Amino acid sequence: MAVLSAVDLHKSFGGVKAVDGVTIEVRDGERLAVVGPNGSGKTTLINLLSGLYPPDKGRVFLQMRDVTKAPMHVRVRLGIARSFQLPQLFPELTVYENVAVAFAALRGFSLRAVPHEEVKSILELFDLWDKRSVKAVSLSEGEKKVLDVALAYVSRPKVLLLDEPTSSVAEEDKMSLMERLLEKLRGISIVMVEHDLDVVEKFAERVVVMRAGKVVATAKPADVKTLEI
Amino acid sequence: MRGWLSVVAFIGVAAVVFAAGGDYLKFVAAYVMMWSLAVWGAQLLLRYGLVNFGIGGAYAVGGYAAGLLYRHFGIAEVTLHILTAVVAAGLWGLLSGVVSARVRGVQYALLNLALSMVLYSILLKFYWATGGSDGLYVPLPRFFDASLGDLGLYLLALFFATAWMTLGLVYSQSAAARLADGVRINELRVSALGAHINRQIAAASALASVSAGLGGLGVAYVTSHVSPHYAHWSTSGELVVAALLSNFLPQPWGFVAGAAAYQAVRLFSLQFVTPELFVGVALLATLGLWRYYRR
Repeated sequence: MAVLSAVDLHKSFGGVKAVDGVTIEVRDGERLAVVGPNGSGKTTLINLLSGLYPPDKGRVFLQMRDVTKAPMHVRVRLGIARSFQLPQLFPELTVYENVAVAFAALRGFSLRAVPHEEVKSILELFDLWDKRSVKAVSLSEGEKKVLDVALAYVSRPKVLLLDEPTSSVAEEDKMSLMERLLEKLRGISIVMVEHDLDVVEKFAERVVVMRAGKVVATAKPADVKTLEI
Repeated sequence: MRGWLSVVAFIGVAAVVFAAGGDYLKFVAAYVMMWSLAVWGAQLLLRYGLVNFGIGGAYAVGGYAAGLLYRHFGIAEVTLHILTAVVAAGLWGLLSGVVSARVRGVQYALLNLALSMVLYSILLKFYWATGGSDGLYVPLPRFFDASLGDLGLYLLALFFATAWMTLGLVYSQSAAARLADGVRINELRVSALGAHINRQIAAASALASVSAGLGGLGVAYVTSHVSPHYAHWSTSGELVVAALLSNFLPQPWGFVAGAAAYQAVRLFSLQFVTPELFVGVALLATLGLWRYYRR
């Protein structure tokens, strides 16, 4: 059963068609990889699915519910969370405070404090408890990626959109980073934009190939290296 | 714990000022405590990264709540004044917050400045209702037929200041404060975490306006007068400068100390320069200090 689906999505910037009639489906608990060359529209697709951009045309459904017109913060509350290619953190705050902001974002203008135990449980889950007093700006690239995903996880999403989760991470750390992350995210449907085909082959369950804003192929991870990307 | 002790210590200092100080010192202390509520409002918005050069609008709404009720209905009852000031300033804050929540930075500052200057013009031109440039007389308030008197007014100022310190302590630990930090640092991320940013800013704007409105009401009580100058851009500038100064000082009493420091320097400097020149120089100096501090 599809958790998230997009039907005939279009998005142009000026005269450039960044996403051109994309239809995809993400199944319950599936890890779907989106691959393609630079400029093929992968990140724009993530931005359309997350609600950062409204589509020019087409529809987005979350478990049969039409969320096309829902802005990003509403989609988060409905169950679509995301991380970013460049981790979007709060650099001058500590790791603990970053997670506290994520809880606060869901609570809104409340004079009640964010419960310590909830923050602690997220930090422990993502192995960041020991780093809780470190400012986010001082973390390694890999740790920033983990924290970015941890922030997204706070809303307990049904679908998590990971935009290049291993970019700017050292080559030797990519596999272990993905292993750590996906172990924490078990049961959540994942859409990951990824350039590293070794990562895709090992961790994805299905692959969508994009070129010039269109989906040109759907493949099994084992076949991904044989495709022309 | 230290925060609560600070509140108790502040009450002690205020009591000593009242017991041992002369009339002028008591007047200045009551003025500063009332004015500091408006500083608190400006400081709340600074936490979101919003510099509000129209906060004087809410300050004026609070002051005129008392002035208009007395002039047109003869009402001097403090509870009715407070209730009217809270509702009117809250509505003003909500309106200006909703209008300006979609913009940031210079546009936000100027849009709010424009709104407050529209109010300034209305207060100035509608003489029959507002007293025009003369403003309105504000009597010493009454509490169920008993005049508050100087002691009552001083206690009211002290009550407001300590209540706002307590609110500040609660707020600093709250989800709302975390959210404000997030909005200031990375608005995109906060939105991607599920927060309706514009709604948060409108709510903060309403709270800041209520605080500024009560400050305006209190200052009108202390000076027995309210004038259109309350809504003037230079009044907003003064409040922003004092709020920036307060950010250098420890909470929960930082906003009162910032207000006191600003008023002390202002009173001294007005012997040598015009009020507007003082505001301009103070703003430049504080922004310079702020940049240095942030570095």
